[in-house]
Amino acid sequence: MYSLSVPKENRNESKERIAEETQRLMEQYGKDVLRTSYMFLKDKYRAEDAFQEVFIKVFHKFKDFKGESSEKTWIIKITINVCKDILRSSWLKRVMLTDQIASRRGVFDVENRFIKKDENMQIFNEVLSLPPVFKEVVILYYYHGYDTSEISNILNTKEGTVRSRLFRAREVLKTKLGGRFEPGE
Amino acid sequence: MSEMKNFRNIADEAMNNINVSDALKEKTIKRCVKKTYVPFGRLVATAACGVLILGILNLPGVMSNKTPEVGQESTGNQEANLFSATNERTESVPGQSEINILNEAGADNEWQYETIDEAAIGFGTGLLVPAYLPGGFSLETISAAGQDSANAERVLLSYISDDRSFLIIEQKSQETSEFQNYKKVDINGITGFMKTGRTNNEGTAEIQGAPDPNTTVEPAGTGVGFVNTEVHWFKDQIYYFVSGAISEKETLDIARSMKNVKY
Repeated sequence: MYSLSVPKENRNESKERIAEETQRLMEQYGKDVLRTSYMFLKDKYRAEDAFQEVFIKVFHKFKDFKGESSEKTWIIKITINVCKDILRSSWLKRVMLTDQIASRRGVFDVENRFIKKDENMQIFNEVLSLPPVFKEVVILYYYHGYDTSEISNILNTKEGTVRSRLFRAREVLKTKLGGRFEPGE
Repeated sequence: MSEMKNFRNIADEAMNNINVSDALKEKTIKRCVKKTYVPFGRLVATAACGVLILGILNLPGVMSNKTPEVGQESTGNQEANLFSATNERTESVPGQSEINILNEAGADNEWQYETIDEAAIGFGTGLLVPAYLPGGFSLETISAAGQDSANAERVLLSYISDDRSFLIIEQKSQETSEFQNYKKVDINGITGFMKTGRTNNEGTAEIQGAPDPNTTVEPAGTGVGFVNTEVHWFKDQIYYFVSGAISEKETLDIARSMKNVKY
């Protein structure tokens, strides 16, 4: 919320500048945000909802970003939190949308068929099927290339916990994928 | 043999149809610069809670000890279970997230207050706000419904943190009722009704078994779910409802800390 002491014209100028910055970040990291959201939410429309929420948060929190992490890390952290919030809220949403979702179910089926088309897709699918606490560390480690220290900062979790979850995630994937799984540490 | 070190390529190949369209960018920027920012989670929760509150207060038989109005027959003791859900996989509908439950009643006007003081003037002295908030939470929006902004019948306070949210709904009500199968709790001398449930990771199905009352997200593994807690109580002809991804302790601490707004 803007301070009342800031003249209106300055507020507008500031708002425009932040909008430009948000647009720049969207160009630079938008695909990462959308695809990370997709991996969490497993539906491209929900991922697009998440994308919007992420950049709206970026817009509103831009002034608070102190550069303590890279812009990308800041945005990915917001993305993960938004996705968690959406997952957490989805049972509520179902109450509202039960009657309206039936016609959309076909879209997911098509995507499901698509992602199962070969071995790589099976790995992708298994990662997406992991419980969120495992999936988030796998995505951050293997997709975004963060190390466990960076992941612990992003998730506000102890590094030991991150390592443990990564280990357990690999065990789950190894069990499901058998010989097709190579951890590639 | 595929290796996880190639996961970036594997994932990008799988998601080659997941791209940011110009329309999505444009829509997002438009939403950014709108004066009033209403986050997705709040809207979803608002929508659902609207259903809940309308269901709880208007559907006959939902609560026990509720006397049917003249000409109205009770339909029994059906329980209002906020955590009931099916096992169906569900998807969202773009744009549908901006459902606002405050219109669900049909006849209500709806609006947002900028400050608690404005809401207190519109709703009256019964408006309570929590003196305690769990760490990281802040007030996000104040939605209301009723005749007009000077005569609010219902106020919804939405609080969010980085990864959690909860709501407080306050509605003028002539009725006081008891909730079946809810735990009775004391809220500053008044009996409240609390229930905690949890849903699966997708948020689509209820998980059986009592969650840890002090955690909001349980350890990973089979049966992992999100904890949601709700508490209801009535005071001075106002119905109060707190619900969200918060523990039982946090919910009670919030409810017990709620105080009148001085304006």
